[in-house]
Amino acid sequence: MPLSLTEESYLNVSLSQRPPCRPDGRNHLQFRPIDAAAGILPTTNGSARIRLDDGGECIVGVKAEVIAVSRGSEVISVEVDCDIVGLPANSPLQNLLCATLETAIKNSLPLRLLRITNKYRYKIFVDGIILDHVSHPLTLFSMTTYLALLDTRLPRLAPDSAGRDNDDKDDIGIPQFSSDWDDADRLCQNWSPPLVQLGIIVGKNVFVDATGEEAEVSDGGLLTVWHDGRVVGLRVVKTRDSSKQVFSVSSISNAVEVLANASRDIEKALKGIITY
Amino acid sequence: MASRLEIFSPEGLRIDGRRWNEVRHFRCAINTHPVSSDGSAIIEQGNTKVICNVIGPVEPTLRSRVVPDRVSISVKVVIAPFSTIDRRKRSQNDSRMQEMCSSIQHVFEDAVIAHLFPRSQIDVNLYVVAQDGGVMQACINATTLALIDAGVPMYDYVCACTAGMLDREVLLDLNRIEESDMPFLTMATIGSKRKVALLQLEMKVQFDRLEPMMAASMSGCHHIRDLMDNEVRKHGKSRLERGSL
Repeated sequence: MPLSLTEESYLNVSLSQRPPCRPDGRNHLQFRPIDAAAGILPTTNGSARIRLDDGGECIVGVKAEVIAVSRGSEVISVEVDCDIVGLPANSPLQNLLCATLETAIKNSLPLRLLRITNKYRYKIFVDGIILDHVSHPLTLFSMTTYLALLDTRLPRLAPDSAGRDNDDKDDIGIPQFSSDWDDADRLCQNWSPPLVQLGIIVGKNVFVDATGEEAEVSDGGLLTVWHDGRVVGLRVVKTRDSSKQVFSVSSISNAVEVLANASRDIEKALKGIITY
Repeated sequence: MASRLEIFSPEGLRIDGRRWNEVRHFRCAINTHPVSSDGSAIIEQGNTKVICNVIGPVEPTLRSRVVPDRVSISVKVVIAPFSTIDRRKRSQNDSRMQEMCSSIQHVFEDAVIAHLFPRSQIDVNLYVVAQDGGVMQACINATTLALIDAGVPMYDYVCACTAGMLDREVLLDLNRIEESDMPFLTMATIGSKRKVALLQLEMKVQFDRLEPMMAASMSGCHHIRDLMDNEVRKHGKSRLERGSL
């Protein structure tokens, strides 16, 4: 339901105060409680489900496919796709979610993790369903994808099919995989997936995990891509139709700093869910 | 047999070790998404897993959905691309899926006591997150439980089950491998009597073999009804003890 002018101005004033006052009493870096689970789907290489307090829910499944590569091609094959229930396919929101995550994963994933032999490589499919969302689903989708990628395991080559040294691997035809699933390698053993975080800017304040009403009165949103302990990408996002697209350098750098702190905490929390 | 798998061994065991008249492992839960919907359920039948959310009865969002004397039900099925062994992306307009939606809708239009909610709508959203045969039956069973959770009055449980015919042997509740190997039908019954709400058979089968298949799936439906009824009663009891009714 749209906010009335009075409600909007009340919310805007209370959010732009210093210190800010959020309607639910959280501080600007505080998330609402989430309910997360990993490894829930047996037909996938990795899967996760996250449910927010407001009913928003996302399920992500990661599947790996073996593809043949031509010699010398260095393209990382990752495809991110998501279904947002209630929105038609190819809606702007869906495109934003998929494109952001796909670029972030492609830019951070080292090619050697997907290598099987010189001729074959994995292609990673990340598919999500957003069952319901009240607030902006980007953070939700990103967190679920992060968790699903942490959970992802890729099967090892069968011991007898792999050659002694690397040159022999070139000669074997179609790779034969070990049938023992417990023997599979974690995709994220030496790599940590990117985490996209959306913050809203109201006046001089930045908030994470904004509710729908908070986003409705914000000046605009900023998304940051967090990877390997630092922010590697950012983008200004519209949070409502009339949202600002231009921000001063100081407010952006302030927002980046706030979101970096939030991402660090979330990364730690999500990593605690998966036990190696 | 062309396939190298033995679908039904001479000892009377199927590939997953069941007898001919045994249903797969059945697990269900209701009221799983209390915040985002009015009624919700999760069903697992073997490796098939379906989540169902029901929203309603509410005032229709579109004028075109107003029916003056009864409730209008709409069913939407989302099949996750990762639900099958090989990843496959389906569009929402896939004709098979639309057919499935409309047959589930017809079943529940008759099962719900529709005249109690004139000029209102019920939205049923089904999410298939893992499939291993019997998607249709799992969707129908999940919808029944979610509607019960939403408090929508129905005449009785609607339960569905598949049965297939291999040569002269009837097999109950097929998995994906069995489904691809033999003709099978999906049947939905209302209540524990012999009332059929849906019968779907898309393959050729000899006429005299139809009756044993129907009899088998009828008994499967009744068995599933008991399992679902146990879960609903268990859930109701725990809600009562918590004092949240």
